Amino acid sequence: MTRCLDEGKLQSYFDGELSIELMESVTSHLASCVTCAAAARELEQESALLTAALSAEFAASIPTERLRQRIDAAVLGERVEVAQATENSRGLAVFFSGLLNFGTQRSLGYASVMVVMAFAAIFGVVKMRSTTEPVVATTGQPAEMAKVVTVSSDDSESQPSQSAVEAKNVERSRNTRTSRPIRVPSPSAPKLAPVKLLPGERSYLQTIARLDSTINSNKRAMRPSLQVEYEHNLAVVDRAIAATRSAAKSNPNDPDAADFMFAAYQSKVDLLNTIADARLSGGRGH
Amino acid sequence: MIKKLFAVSALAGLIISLAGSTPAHDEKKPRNSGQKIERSLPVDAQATVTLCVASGALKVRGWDRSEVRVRSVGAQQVEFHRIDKNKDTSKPASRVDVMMFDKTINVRPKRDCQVFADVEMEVPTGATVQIQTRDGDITIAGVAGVYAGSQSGDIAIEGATKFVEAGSLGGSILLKDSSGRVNLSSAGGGVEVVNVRPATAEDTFEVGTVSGDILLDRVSNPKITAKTVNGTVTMSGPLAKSGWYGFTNMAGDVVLALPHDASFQLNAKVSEKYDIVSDFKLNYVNDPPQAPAPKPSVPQSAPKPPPVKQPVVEKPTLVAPFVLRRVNAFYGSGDATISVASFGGTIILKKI
Repeated sequence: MTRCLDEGKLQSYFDGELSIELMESVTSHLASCVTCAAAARELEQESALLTAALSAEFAASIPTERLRQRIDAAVLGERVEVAQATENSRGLAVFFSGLLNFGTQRSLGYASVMVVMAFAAIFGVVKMRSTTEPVVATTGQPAEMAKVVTVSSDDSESQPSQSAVEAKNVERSRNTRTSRPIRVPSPSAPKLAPVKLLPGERSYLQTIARLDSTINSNKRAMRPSLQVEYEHNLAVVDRAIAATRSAAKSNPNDPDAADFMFAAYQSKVDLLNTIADARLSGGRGH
Repeated sequence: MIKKLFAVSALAGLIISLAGSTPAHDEKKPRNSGQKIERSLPVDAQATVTLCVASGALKVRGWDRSEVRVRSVGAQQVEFHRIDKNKDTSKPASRVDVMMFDKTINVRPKRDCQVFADVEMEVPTGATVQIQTRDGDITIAGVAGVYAGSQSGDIAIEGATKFVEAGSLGGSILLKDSSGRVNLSSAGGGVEVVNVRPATAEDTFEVGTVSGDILLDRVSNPKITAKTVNGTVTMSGPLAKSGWYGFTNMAGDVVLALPHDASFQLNAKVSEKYDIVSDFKLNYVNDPPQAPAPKPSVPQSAPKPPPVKQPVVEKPTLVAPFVLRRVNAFYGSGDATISVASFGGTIILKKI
């Protein structure tokens, strides 16, 4: 029995951000796990609700008033900083021009300072080598499955509960200047164990993943009636797939049990095809 | 003061009279959404006519004229687009797309299927119609071929003579008194078919739902397939001689109400947890249905139940895991073949 998917992975699934392999894996897991399928539907419903609620914001080509104020404030701040920097640069120029005015005593002074700095550098290197490195501890899991704690320069952002994210966020945090990712053991991290597919199951899962992607690529909110019908029937089909898959798995030598599973998969493919057609070829408001 | 009042009232009267005398729009482009529009076009007797709206009730009727007539309430513009391969406009059109618009012709939308309107259409009885709507109900009667699709509306088809293909996502489908090839599908709605027969020997009959029930009454096509995930399949009426009947469901019963003189071969696959209940005295082809594996507490010498009773009720004694039972039997001379695969439901054979 595989562990359930976390919300981040489900969200990535619906956002179409997973690789094809992960997409297939998630799809197969959703087909076999009623709990995750229910969570997925709930998440999809929330996304649809948000999309519908914010559709006016998304559709607007001009920034909102609050955003405009923030932009104006940022521009104004930049101008002030530039003006201050210009003012400071004048004072610094005078200071550095004085420093660069070499005399005999000043040359000796510079030389002594450089010797001290060289010793300090050597001492520092030796000290660093003698200390143990801060550990990047992993649990033997693939890198993308490890939890990540983002240590941010801003205290308000350094809450561990918010920073447990998955693979895609690892890259994001690496690319962020103000944060430094440290991998820590994640014993409770939900690990998406590879689903052992039954013979002939892969092609159905690939088709379902493609259809899911097609349906989710349409960012327009589904009409409520269509959404309800879709989710209800999808739940029915998913339950049937889970039940028949379990039967096929427990009866590997029974071709009829596999036939039931394939029939359930085919029902899901038919349903998704119908929904995809409705979304793509229908009139406004689908 | 009185002069001012008089001047204002005179000005208002002038404005009103000018507004009334000036036509706001061309008479050919009525804006009143409640006004009925009517257009007609001569077409071939076996023409294909396409109509698509976003919402509204669509009624299509076959008539004896070689002409398409469209009447609509709600649309502001109706046009016929000839899409036949033969560009000779002197001949009647063989393929016509009925385009309907909400707005005036100068600001028409890029696609059809946009209008919200009720439509009544007459087409030749030999015509094929392709009707699609999103929300509205579709009613079609007396045409040769039907393609009909609705997302949440109901579809009712009567008197089709060549073929019917209809699909609905949430609505129900009713087909009656028709002939020819049939393919019906609905996700959440039920499908009911009454009195359908083949037009040719190759005319198949396929129906499928996800959670809707399937009801077949007097369907005599030689090959019938009915599939549902979570619905009840009910078929009643005589079997076609040498006919093939395939029923598959994941959850829900399969009920076959057959005449007492029916002749069929039964190939059933059913979960051990569910029953096969038969009013017919079935003759098993090879072995009688295997009794479930005896429990350890049951002595091996316990007498086995007789293979067939009337009615036959095979009670499962094994709860888990899933075990599939296969029953191969015949009744009468076994003319027709009934293949039932029920993962989670009871198979019931009734005499009528």
